[in-house]
Amino acid sequence: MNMKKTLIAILAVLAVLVVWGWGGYNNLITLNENADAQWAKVETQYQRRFDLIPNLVASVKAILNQEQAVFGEIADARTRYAGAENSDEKAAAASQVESAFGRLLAIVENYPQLQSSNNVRDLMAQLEGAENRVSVERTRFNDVVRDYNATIKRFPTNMLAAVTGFRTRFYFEASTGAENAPQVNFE
Amino acid sequence: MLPLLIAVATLSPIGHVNDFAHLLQSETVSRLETTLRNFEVQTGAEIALVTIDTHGPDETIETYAVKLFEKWGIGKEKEDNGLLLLIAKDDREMRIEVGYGLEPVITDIESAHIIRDVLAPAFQQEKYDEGVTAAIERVMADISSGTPQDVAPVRSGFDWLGNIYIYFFLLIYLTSILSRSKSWWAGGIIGAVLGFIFSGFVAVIILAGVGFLFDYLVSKNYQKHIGRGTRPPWFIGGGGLGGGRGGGFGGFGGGMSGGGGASGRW
Repeated sequence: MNMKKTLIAILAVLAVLVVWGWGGYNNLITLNENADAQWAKVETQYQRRFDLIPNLVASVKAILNQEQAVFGEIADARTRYAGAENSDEKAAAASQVESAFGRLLAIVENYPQLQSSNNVRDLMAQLEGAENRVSVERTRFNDVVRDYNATIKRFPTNMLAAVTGFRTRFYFEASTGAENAPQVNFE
Repeated sequence: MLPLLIAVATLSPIGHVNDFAHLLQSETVSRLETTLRNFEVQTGAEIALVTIDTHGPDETIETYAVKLFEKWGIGKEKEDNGLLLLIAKDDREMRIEVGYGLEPVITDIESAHIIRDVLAPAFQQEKYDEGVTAAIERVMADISSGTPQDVAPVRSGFDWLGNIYIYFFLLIYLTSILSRSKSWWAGGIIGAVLGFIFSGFVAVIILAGVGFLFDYLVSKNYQKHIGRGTRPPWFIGGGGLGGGRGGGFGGFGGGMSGGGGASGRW
């Protein structure tokens, strides 16, 4: 009789554990998927920004004869992005694009004949939009990762995460620090 | 007056036009409010105009705009057909933040043009009302003329799931009327009319049948309860009805933006 009660108690605890583990595991899957989905949005915006480059370069290259170095840098970063095999490499190449763009924007500011060209101003507006989109989606990526990391570090989910092999994800650091494209004013 | 720093988290929309910085004449505010409300009814697109004193040192106009957009959910959910014109008076900065769904219509270039050619020149002469009005008109013209596939017209803009409680109340309302009415057949007529409005002939027959049966049952039941002197249960029309929704601003639809648009200074 006592044996039977113990057995029932053990089974009840097991049932609770299974239900909790089930829900917790699915929750981790969802959070992880959200982070992946948000990273995909970041990459979409990277790609969108890369697609602007040929237009931009074509419209300013002739005037910026002495500034070939920066164009080389942009082209190089673009090649590296295309050849990147994982998201870390992509992020690194994207940061390189940002600093090269930042320099280009600063250069353009020093050329009044570029400033007065409507074509160039429109391209600049597009470029600023592209930069802003990248930074918005990256901020959201970090928010999603923060949710995920907090969940897998918190007790008792941390035990479940350890058993099922969920690891903390890395934040996108560049958006918060020195890699930011320099702020350039065009007015 | 001291510039008032209002954190994004504490701002709530009072309408389409939110002149927190008291930049505009009150006539302009009410006129634009009416215009934008009608525009939302016609096209489903939600345009918000917000003026603040300053975005503060911890935010840029871009981050402030995207946070405000997200918090208020400007535009319809899923369609993301919202647009925010944010003006920071003391910073002398403005931004047009475009919802995902409107990005093909209000491009970054178009946003930059509106700021550069319409808003900034007017603001420099302190013609705030004229500038804002012209900018809003241009945005509305863009949206009405350039509707590509991404911007669905009003019909699908209706949020079916989100409004499920309205159907619920409508059902109770209808029930209470049908069961009290002397007729036991009016439900059939209503069903037929609804069916005709919503789809066509087949639905007319089906809905007519359903409505007929429904009215017959609830009427019978209501009479039975009344006859016995008992209160009929709420689901066949026993309860009273509370007030409906007020005429005030019901909030935006839950749309999202992703940093599209343009910023500028004056």
